[in-house]
Amino acid sequence: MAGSVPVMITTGSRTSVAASLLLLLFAMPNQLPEFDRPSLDEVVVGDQFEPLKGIQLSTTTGGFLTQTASVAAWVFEVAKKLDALGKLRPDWDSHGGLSLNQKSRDLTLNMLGWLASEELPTPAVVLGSAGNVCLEWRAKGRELEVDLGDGEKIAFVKVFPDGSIEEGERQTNLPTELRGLTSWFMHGELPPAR
Amino acid sequence: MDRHDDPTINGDMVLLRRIPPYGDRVQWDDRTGEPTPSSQNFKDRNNELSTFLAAEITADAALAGHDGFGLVQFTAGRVREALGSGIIFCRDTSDPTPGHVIICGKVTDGMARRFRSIASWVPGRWPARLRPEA
Repeated sequence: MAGSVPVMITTGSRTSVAASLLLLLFAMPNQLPEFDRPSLDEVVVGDQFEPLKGIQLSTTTGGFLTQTASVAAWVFEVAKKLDALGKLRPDWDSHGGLSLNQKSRDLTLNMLGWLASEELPTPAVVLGSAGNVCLEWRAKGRELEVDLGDGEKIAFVKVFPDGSIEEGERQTNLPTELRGLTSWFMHGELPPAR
Repeated sequence: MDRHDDPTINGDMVLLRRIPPYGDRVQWDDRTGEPTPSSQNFKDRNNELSTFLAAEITADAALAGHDGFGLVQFTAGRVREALGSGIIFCRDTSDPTPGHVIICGKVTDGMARRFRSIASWVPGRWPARLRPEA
């Protein structure tokens, strides 16, 4: 399967997109069979057909995941920002910065899939000097920076309300690790009671 | 190119670094309208962070040819405090632009965040505020 695939979205509340969502997300190659990845270039919002300008999330290798679920609004904002990052040319920062790294981009898309139902603020989606993607959240005196690096592992920085900083790297069990980080960002040290 | 620490760069010397308006490298506060540079502005893929000595170059010259870019400033001493002893300040003698100093050494994401904390905007030199996704 190759080429563009339209994506249908029905909007719900301001902060979330309700069901009836066909979301094309990208799974780790070792988790799903390989397919040609579709592109995400058209969206139906409510009754209005509305092309999502500039969104091109296609790649040529790896798999994709089709999911019907509630997806938080920030996920789409990040996807749009990611698309914008992909348009930057080498030396875009005047310091020899590289264009968007495809593996970092793919890991970012996977991350969106893993965290799609989490209610989070829209992060900054920052392009690093090496073409890496870094998501940065800031609220309630806390900051969380997640660097998707070269797509093989993540690095994170937590900034606590007292200004202290914790940093680390994770290479395995990324979905759980990322949920733990965003839970810390939203709720502090202890996860909310369920 | 070999890089050598320049002992003449003392802790009080002010350094400048260009900040691009692109790549979400600057976040704008909705309430105050003020920009904050991302930590990623203080990392370099080759561990060579390009700066200029404020005493040897004007802000206009540091930004020449880079429309929309902003300029932050910090002292060498604060950088040493934030990044530790693993970094050195090297003159880039191959660059015809005066005052080009490269901060050499591995900067982790946490170090870059500390670096961000000690940087401030050069007055009147905020970057251009681009529309979202630009």
